[in-house]
Amino acid sequence: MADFIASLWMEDVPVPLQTWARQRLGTLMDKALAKHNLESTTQTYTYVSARRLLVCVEGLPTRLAGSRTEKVGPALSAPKAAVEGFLRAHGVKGIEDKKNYHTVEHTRGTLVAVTVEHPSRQVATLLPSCLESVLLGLHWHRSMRWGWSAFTWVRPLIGIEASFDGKALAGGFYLGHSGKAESPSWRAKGKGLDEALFLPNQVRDSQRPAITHKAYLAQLHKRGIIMDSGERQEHLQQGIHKVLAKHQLSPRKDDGLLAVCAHFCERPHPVLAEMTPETMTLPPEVIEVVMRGQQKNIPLYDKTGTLSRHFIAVVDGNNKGKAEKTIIDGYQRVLDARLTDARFFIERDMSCELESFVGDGLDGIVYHAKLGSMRDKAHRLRTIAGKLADSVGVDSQQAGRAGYLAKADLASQMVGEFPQLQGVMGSLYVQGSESLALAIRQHYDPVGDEQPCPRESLGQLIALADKLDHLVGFWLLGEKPTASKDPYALRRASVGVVRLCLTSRWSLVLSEVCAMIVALYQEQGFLKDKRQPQSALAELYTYIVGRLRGVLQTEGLPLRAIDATLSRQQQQTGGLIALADTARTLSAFLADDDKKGEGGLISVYRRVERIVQQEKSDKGKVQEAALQEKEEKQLYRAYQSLSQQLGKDETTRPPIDEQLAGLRALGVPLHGFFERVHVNCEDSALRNNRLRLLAGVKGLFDGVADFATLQGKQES
Amino acid sequence: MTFQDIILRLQHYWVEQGCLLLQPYDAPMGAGTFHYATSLWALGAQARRVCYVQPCRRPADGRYGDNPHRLQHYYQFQVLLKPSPSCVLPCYEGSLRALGLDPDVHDLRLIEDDWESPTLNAWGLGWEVWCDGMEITQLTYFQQVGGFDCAPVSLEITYGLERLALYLQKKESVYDLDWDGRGTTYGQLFHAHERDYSFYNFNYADVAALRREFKEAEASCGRLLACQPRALYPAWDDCLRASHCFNVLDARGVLGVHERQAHIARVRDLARACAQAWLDHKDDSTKEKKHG
Repeated sequence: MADFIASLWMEDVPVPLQTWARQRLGTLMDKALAKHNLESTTQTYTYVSARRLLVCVEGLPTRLAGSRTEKVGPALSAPKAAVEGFLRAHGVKGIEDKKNYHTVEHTRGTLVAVTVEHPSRQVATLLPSCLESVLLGLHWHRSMRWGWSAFTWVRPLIGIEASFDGKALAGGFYLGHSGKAESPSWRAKGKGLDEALFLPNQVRDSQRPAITHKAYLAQLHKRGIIMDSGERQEHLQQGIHKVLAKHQLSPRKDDGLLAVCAHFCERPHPVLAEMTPETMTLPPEVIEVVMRGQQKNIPLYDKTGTLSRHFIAVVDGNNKGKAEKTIIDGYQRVLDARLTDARFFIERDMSCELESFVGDGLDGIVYHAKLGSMRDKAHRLRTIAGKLADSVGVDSQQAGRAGYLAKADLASQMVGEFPQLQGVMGSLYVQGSESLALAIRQHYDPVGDEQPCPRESLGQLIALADKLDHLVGFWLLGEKPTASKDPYALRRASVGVVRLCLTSRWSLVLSEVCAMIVALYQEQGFLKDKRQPQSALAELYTYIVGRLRGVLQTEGLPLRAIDATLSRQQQQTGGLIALADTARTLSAFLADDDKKGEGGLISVYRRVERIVQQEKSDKGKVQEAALQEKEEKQLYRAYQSLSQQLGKDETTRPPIDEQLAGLRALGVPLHGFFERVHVNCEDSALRNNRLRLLAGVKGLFDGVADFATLQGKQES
Repeated sequence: MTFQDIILRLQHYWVEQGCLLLQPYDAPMGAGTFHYATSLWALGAQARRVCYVQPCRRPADGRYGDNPHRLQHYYQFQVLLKPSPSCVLPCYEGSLRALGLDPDVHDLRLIEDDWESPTLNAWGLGWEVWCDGMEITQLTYFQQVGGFDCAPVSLEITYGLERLALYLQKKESVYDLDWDGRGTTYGQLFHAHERDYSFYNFNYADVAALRREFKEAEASCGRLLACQPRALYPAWDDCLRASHCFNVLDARGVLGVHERQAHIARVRDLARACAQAWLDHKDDSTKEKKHG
């Protein structure tokens, strides 16, 4: 058994594509090995760094044993041309050349077959074609040509090292020639080709190729290159730990930036740098964005979570003799320069009031060609927030102002430069109460399914107004999300609406709010052609309720409880909070009832349902006088009192938990009934009467909740 | 190292690498790429190596001379290597050594930064090069120019001279840069220009006249390309003129979103027509595929 090692040395492997490339490399290699039946004993390992892709295959035989396979062709009775064609393709002269083919019996008739001999081969002679198919099969998301190459790759490929069992593969990879229509391929020799485009297979920095996968990794290690990305990250972590030994500082936990920095270099080496005191007077959010986004520097925090003056820059440490002081100095100066730029923008922005951005700046920012500018949006948000304020207990004037200013910072120079700071800059620039600033900052929340909602009600209100305005506008334009495409993030906005309603516990009637928003759009002259938006709004409501299903599921509620709730929502308008409460109550009820097993309500309902469905009652009224047994009389009385308690009008019914309690009380006589009373008796009048009683009981259950769904029929 | 030393050393280094040393083009342009020695020469099959300094104008980037890092007029040192050589990075690193920056000592990093010019209808893949965190160069492998495939592919190397000088001289403001080592600073030479041009670009420029000029340049470009024999270079000047008018109008803040897009598309059409004319020219005819 021997190892195959192939290292592709490139000018650069862009960080966002590294993981993808590594996985794809392994898949392609295995596919190529399988083509030669080489994959059964092997194990493939792949690695990626900022400069190279490496694939190692362990456990290859050095010689592939000879074998023979049978190839079956067309039926002997098929047209002669087909039979001859097949035979000639396999080296048989023709139909008369009988000793070189045979026939096999098959349900399709007598078929022509030939035996194909696979001679024994040196595996080393097969590997170039495997490597070639990997090189030609790795289609990057974006790739380029260079020089005269016809070959395309993410960045120029500048060298290849490939060896098997300690011997370099013969030949090299020819990149093709775009001017001479020569295709890229592995060539045994570079003769006659454009030398500049031929990458000879060579082993760098060592006289002989490594024999094993592990030995090769060790060789690279010696040259200061860590190929394993996990190890590289670990190396960086330890380095940071060492650098911070004397400081009570640490990076943010699970900082994804660490992984990015580990991918940037072949041997990440952290250095500790610090900002000037003047710089630290800028808002920490601004510093963090510049540091992380532009410079990929790692911010540090003290024990209280306050941003420190110190930060970490990660440099590539694979060359000895770096001038660490100069490098640190460089990183400090760049960060300071970038932050000076930011300070300049902030001072410019603050030379006028935030209000003034709405009039001039936002007018020039298009929200959507058919939905107006961001200024139009600001005006709508002011009205929506103002109108809803009273019903949710927020000062309407303040709500209006918050709505009006929420998007103002989009016109500021800072947000123009650093879009991630939208909301944050507005909150820093606005003159007014703290809750106003907080509302502006948090109104984009919740940005993800897991991200938090605004904490204060003003922020919740503006966030809700923003999302509903967005949803209504784009929904009426017909930009509905599909499973794969949602360019306007309507799914996210809908999940936001659901989570905001559940967090705030506001029982807003969404249909009314949405209709009000449509009217606002139309007053501004948009969506004029949507004269009857009701059906689209109903569809939107259904979509939002669909997201409620997901949100409640993440809360841990069983689908049975959620679906039983949603199947019963009467009109397409109700508040989300009522639906959520019902689902939660049903969920608690289920948890309790499931524990009781046979003695639970679900189980007894199932029994009632089975009898009623099998025997088919005639839907007549129960004849009280005709009831005989004590138990059936008890059940009847309990049934009557509960029907009265619940009443016929659904809107005046007591809360669902009281209704469920009523059903539970009915459970006792029901159990007694089933123990003592024989429904299917000889006397048909009596049987009918009992069936009527059970049908009535089932009706009570069905009136309270969708028990068919609750018992989980769909799930089984 | 003074500002003029940087220019001299880069020129010297790249001339040694076989580059033709051209001089700045005498028309306002947004980047050294617009010089015909890059934009047009990148098309066609003929091998080229060229370097030159190009003053660039980006009217919207002016800051009245108040911001130490932003200018509406600055200098690029531009190198075009066609076809791109096989030893790009060592070759580039050599230029840093010529500037006294030892790549083995500093932290050099390639940051993925793909380039696209909507007005030139051109794109390429490449990087920003960071030296100790400071972006000092842009490297781009041109894939298309004017909508035509580049074959062979050229490598464009662009040094932002002010940035490079800020780094080498360890200065905090571009206006403090030492130009000649005899007391002349960048500020003495250009601060007044920055202030004056910021007022012009943002406040004074005659919008109606610029709109007129844009149209005239556009019409003239088409007319010159249609003449027999054609007049490609004056047509290219018209394309640059239209592009610059657009940039000033944009800085002046008078273009709405749609109008802006429309202007970009119109400049792009001019660039494409010139590229087409260049490729049709007998001396440089190749078998490029046309796109769209």
